[in-house]
Amino acid sequence: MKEFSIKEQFALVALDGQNSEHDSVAKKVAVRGIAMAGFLQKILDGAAKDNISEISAYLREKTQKVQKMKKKERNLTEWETAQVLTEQNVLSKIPDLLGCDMNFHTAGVSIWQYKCDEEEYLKITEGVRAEILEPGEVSAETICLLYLFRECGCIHDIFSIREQEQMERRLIELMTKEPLYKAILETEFHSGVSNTYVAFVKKKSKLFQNPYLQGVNLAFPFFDRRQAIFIDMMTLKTNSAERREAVAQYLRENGHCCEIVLRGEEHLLKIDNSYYKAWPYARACRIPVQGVELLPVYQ
Amino acid sequence: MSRQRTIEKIMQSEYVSIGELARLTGCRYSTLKFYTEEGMLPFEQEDTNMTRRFPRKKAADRIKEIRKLREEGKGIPEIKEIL
Repeated sequence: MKEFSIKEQFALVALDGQNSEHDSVAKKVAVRGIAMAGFLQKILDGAAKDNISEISAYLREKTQKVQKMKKKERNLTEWETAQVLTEQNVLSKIPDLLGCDMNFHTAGVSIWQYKCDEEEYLKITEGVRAEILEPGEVSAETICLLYLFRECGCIHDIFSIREQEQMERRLIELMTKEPLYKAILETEFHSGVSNTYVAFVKKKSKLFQNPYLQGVNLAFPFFDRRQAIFIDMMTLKTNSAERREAVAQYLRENGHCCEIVLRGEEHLLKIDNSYYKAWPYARACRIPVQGVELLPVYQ
Repeated sequence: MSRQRTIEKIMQSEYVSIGELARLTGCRYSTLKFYTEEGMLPFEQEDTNMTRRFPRKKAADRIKEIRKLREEGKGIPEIKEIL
């Protein structure tokens, strides 16, 4: 089992699923958190300051620095962290399924995303969950991770609404007992606009999981591009099984793990551990283009 | 302020907390809690602060065993009987 610093633990959780090539609001927020994690590590190791007032001033100074990070600095932080984690074989870059969509593929746009080792992700998040939700001592590392998750809007991915309330109560209790935790948790570096934007995108994605809205999204895919991936398949004189296999083959050629699984009477495509329905569809361009829409299956 | 124990220290100690057990085994917190409440995992409870302590080796072996039985398609009542 590997030992990770706060910065590495947070980076593994925050970078998972983020676009590795292009900038996005969610990634900007995550990289700010990674930079902040480095400063928190210094405080815990005693390398920064000794007394609480000095620590508070140090944190305030660093949060301002983090908030004003330029694109070049963010890219460097991201690259350095990703490099360290890749060398430890816990972070990799995989092709994004959106890159297989007809519009992206024909335009020659390749999209890659970060993928964190699933086991390490579970060990980090479940360790944090267990420590804060269970009675007993809470370590400074867990407080720092919770603080970073809160500031970067990752809390909702890890805790349910009920657990969040329980966690809030516990944090308030810990803040009264430990001045260092109070100093950390009171220093905010999140940007309200960025967090609102990230929350909006997550809400929208959840909204379009509704089967009726999935249909609307097929007609107007710009609503939620990731839930309407269209693959054009002009294969004449073939049956549905052959066309399904052709789609799976196309996805494999584009670097995805794809297999056809039978669930009840329905055939599903298992692409990179997620299930999709291959829905026959025609996109209206100058002439209708026949193909399939990949619709995510939620269980 | 308490610090997280290193993996080396955890591996040397006889008892671990539920958080450390989750970090060691990669098992979900809710799963560990369920197994504990169902009496499938051995633990000791300190009277003073209600904290559960798990015997590291025994608990990790038990989780491995339960996982193996789950992979074989056995349900929780069956596993409880076997254990």
